[in-house]
Amino acid sequence: MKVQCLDRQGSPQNCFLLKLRQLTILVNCPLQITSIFPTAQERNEELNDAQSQVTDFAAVLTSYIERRKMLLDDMIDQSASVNEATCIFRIPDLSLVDVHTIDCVLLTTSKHMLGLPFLTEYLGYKGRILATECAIEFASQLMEELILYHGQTTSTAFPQGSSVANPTTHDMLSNDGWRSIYTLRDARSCINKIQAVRFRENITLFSTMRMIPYSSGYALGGANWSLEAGYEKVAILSSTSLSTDVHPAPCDTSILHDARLVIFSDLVNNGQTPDTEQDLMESTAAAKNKLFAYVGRAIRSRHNVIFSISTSGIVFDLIAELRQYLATIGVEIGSEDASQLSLYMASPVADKSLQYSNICGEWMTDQHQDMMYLPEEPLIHGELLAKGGLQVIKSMDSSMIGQTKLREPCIVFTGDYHNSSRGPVKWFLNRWKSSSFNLCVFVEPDSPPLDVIYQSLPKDCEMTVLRLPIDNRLTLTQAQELLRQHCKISKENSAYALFPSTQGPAEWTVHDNMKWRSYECGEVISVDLQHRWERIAVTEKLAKSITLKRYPLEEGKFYAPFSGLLSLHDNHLELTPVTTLRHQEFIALHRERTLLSQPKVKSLVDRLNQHGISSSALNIRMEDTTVIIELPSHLHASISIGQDTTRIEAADEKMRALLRDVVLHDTVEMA
Amino acid sequence: MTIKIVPLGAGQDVGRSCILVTIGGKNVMFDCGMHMGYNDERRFPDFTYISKTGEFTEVLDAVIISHFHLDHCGALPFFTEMCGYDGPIYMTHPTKAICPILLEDYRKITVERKGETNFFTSQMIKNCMKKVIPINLHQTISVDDDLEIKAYYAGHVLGAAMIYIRVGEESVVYTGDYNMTPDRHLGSAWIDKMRPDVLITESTYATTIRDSKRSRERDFLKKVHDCVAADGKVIIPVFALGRAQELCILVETYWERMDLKVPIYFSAGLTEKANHYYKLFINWTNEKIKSTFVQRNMFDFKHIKPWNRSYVDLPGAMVLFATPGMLNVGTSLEVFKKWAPDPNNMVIMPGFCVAGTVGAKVLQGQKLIEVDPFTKIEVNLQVRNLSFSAHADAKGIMQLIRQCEPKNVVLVHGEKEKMGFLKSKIMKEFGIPSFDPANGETIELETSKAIYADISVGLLKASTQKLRETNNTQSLLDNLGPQSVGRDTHIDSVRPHAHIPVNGVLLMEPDQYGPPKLHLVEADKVANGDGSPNHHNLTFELTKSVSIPQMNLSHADEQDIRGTVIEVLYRGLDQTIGKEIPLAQTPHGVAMRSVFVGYDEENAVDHDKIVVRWNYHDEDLACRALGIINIVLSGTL
Repeated sequence: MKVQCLDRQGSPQNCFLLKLRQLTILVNCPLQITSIFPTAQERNEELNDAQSQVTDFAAVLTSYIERRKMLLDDMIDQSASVNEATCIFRIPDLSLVDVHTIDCVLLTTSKHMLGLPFLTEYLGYKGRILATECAIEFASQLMEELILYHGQTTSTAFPQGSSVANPTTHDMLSNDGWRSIYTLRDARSCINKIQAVRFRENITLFSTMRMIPYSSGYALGGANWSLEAGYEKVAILSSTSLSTDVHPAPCDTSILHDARLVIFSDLVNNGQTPDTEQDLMESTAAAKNKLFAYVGRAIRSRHNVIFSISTSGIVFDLIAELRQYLATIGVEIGSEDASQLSLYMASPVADKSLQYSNICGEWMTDQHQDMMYLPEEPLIHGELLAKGGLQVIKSMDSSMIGQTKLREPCIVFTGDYHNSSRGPVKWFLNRWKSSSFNLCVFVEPDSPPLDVIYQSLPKDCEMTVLRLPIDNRLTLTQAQELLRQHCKISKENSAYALFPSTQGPAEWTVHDNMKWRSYECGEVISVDLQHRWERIAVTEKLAKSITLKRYPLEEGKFYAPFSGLLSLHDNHLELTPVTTLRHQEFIALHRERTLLSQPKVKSLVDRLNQHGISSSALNIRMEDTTVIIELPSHLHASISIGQDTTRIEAADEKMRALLRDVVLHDTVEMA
Repeated sequence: MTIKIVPLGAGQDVGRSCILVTIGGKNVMFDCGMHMGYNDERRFPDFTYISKTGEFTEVLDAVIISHFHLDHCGALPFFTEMCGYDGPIYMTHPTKAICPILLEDYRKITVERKGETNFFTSQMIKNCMKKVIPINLHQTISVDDDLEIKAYYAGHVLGAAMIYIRVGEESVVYTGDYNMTPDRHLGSAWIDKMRPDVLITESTYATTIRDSKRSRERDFLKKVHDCVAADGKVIIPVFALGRAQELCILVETYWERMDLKVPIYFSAGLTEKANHYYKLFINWTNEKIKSTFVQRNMFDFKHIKPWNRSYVDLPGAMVLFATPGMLNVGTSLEVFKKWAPDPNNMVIMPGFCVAGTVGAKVLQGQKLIEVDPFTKIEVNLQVRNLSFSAHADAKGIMQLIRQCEPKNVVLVHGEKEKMGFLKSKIMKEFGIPSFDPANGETIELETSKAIYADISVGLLKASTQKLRETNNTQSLLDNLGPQSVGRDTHIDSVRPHAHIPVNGVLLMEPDQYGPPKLHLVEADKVANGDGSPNHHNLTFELTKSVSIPQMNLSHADEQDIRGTVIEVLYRGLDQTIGKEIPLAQTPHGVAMRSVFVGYDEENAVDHDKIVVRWNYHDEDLACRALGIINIVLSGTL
């Protein structure tokens, strides 16, 4: 089989093309998002080399960006618009892939499928697409949010000399593949094409391959996929978490049983550049403690906190933990009186996300499921929503939110975190920028690096801005530990594991009886899964005609020579008895007999005696290692027995047949 | 192999569903229900059938509950806590959530109202539910290495499932109760075309074909409206969960549309809780409710208020949804007693009533009903029977059979006469054998006896290759080039073969964990114990005399004679086995695989002595060739 990571150089590696048994599977279709800043003169010096490229790019971009002003920006005062950044998007490099040859698209989590509308609506992919129910719903919400923020993109002829920075790589952008976001209609149409599946549901592709999603423990509906064809099994682990204190159903490690190839992707530090590594070194617990300390400081001084965080996923746990933490410092969440603190989630999809997550109890841990049996909503925010402690702000339009309605101090969760010069986060930054006691936190692991965040802040922003990723994805150590614990390695089959680039050895290297290596973007890796056996049905009629004999060379085994007709239908093999004369003839002519042991001279002579040829009449002699038995001369026959060849010479057929039977009498034969 | 099916309950009957299935050496119990019609020991299935000594855990591999109705799960705490079954129990999430509530309800009525002792306790229900393993739709659960379970949507009530089980290549589908037409709150049942060996289906409405849902709904609403307009009281006995929610949605929307002010009540404190379950498990309802739930939860009713016992004597029109559905005990019976004598009032029996219950007697049209030896009810109110039950009708059952294409059908959960009718209909329409076993009667079904083995890819490839080599079209193509052969020949050369002859060896190895492993391999790949094949060659050399004097070519020289003999041999062999085996003519003779026929090239002396040489590998080919040589040389020369 072949594996190819399709992501572009320097991007996180989440998208794979797999070829197994003549089937082509695409795993994930992520969307890469980056911001471009119209005024960042100081960066120009560093980026001089690529100046021409940038100008080209700007020209390309302006050609298709709509020149409309976003509704959401109405409230923003003039000074902010200077820093306004535009987001641009692209999907992995499918230029060398004929999308019509893809047999199936498998999706792991909602975050890795945001580029899908480009594949289905723009590139014309028409095949099957599989994702879990929850992942589809959350992806649909995330897409809607992206479109509402970035869809009617503003702007802007790029001023000459504007520069562009890729927040994740700091590389200069190459101008291929970047475009503006798809439309709402594209997204809806794309979502409708996805087939919803559930964990451990067996989906068969052309009766050849079984595809099974297993819980990844990372997000509601987050899946790892196993592909099985015959005895070949490939496990694809995408964003996976072993954390036990989060809401999604725990990671199902049985996906690794008997896997011949394990592909790891989206480990901690996936595709991050070294300079962001430092803040990732902190453990999740430490990051949370630090986070709560900052939040506590802001709240105690009666200031506000902005969480730039996705509307689904980790936020559901964060709300519960915040409530717990605030209780320890004597702050209650509610909306009844001034002593209580209010939470807000500001996003056009906040309501959907909060409501929908609470009917996904079946996708959560056992503890959350027990809540459903009571019946109570499995996630705490259901209760907070009902009591008013958590409120939803659908739009930052002045008619929807006025100063009277917003109770301060408060904590706000603002959805889309890629660009803080768009959407509610911008509104709140402008509102609270004057005090350094106010806090703005970026907790998503794939938030832009701090310098990019700073660029997108309002100019006179005094607020404390933190980038504190809470990342519970697998670490490399955990991934290796998983392999050790759950991959059964047998002697006859070798097993392989693939790691993201720089996180594994560059060439195949043996570790714990497995072969490990890392994959690079665009590289095609062949893995020999040793396709040795196929399942076959032997019909009753044929089975009855087979008589098993004790296998003389090994205790406990039985054997039986057989012949039959093989038919292949729907990729199922069946063996039936031979009935037609023509096939019988064919079988007879093609039968190959095999001897597994050497005849013994002593018993051979005895057998000849029994057939009336006395041993005295035989002329037995040795030549090297060969024993030659010559029969009386009138019979014109001899037998020579060598190390691995026995030769019978005869002048008539009867004699030949007799000698054959004599020789075969005590040898083991397979035919 | 054989699949055995024994209904312990619901065989030619409705109530105490409990079907025992033995498949591939595994014993599975589908449902564990109680019977509404009995208060004695007949209310539970006869578990002694499974084991006389109570070793249920040893005998049964799994218990699977299809949905939360008491006639499908009512005996479960009795079976697990009082009979001692301790193995795995499976049900869907909503069933696991709602089932204990109904069980508790049932327990209360039996123990507290009827004063029975020796019944399961609340704690037992809790303990029992702790053992339940929840399953998701379409999720394939492996009970052990051999037994696999998969649940499909059944649409009967919230969380109702049809269960597919598989052991090896044998499989059974048990439908539980199902509904093939979507209703106001649930979708319709759906199943893959998985061609199970047996389909065990309910047959409550084996003979009924119901008219369209719409007209039934209209009918229902009109009846209710007419009654309340005439100041009558309407009592609708329902189960707290399921049908009740559908009827509530129906009445609620009608009230809103018609702007009616007549009060609607719902008995039992369950309502709110029940609706909360519907909200949490909204994924199990239908698409419409699912898609609108963020804006408006369909289960937040505006017009429907909780019932208070004191309302029973209030004057004026009202509508009451009361539990339980069969008027056997509880609020519905209490209120029915009060309202029954007044001809202005109305009772609408939406569901099916088990024989022996007050509900069934009402449906039969009895005018004086004896509830117990001390109470008789005079029934004057209008009785309407509304077939609103979420079971598949005859059409639906046939539709399901068409959908999953079983090899056999077993009918349960229905009445004997109706089953007989449906049985003949299934036979006629699909030609599938069908059965309707009574309780305790065993059905044994033979299944395909195919054995499954692993065939080595090497053997597969070698077999296909052999066929390809000997295929005339292929050799034509190779010899003449692609341009000179017809299109059909081209296609023929790439077309997959329907039947490929295979020769090999079957090896059986014992496996300490399961059935022995079977492998089909090439004869020469059979390995010795140490893994290295150690073959012995046996070769033959046979010298044959050719009777040259019979030949007419007396003047020809040695070389010519030899050439002619070889030519004759080649022609003879080519005409007979040449179709199957590639032949090669050499200066000295004819070769096919290891078989050589012709003149000994080293010490050739006489032109009337030919040799036949071969390896024992090709013994069969050589024997055939010898036969042909004998004929050829004795005859035509």
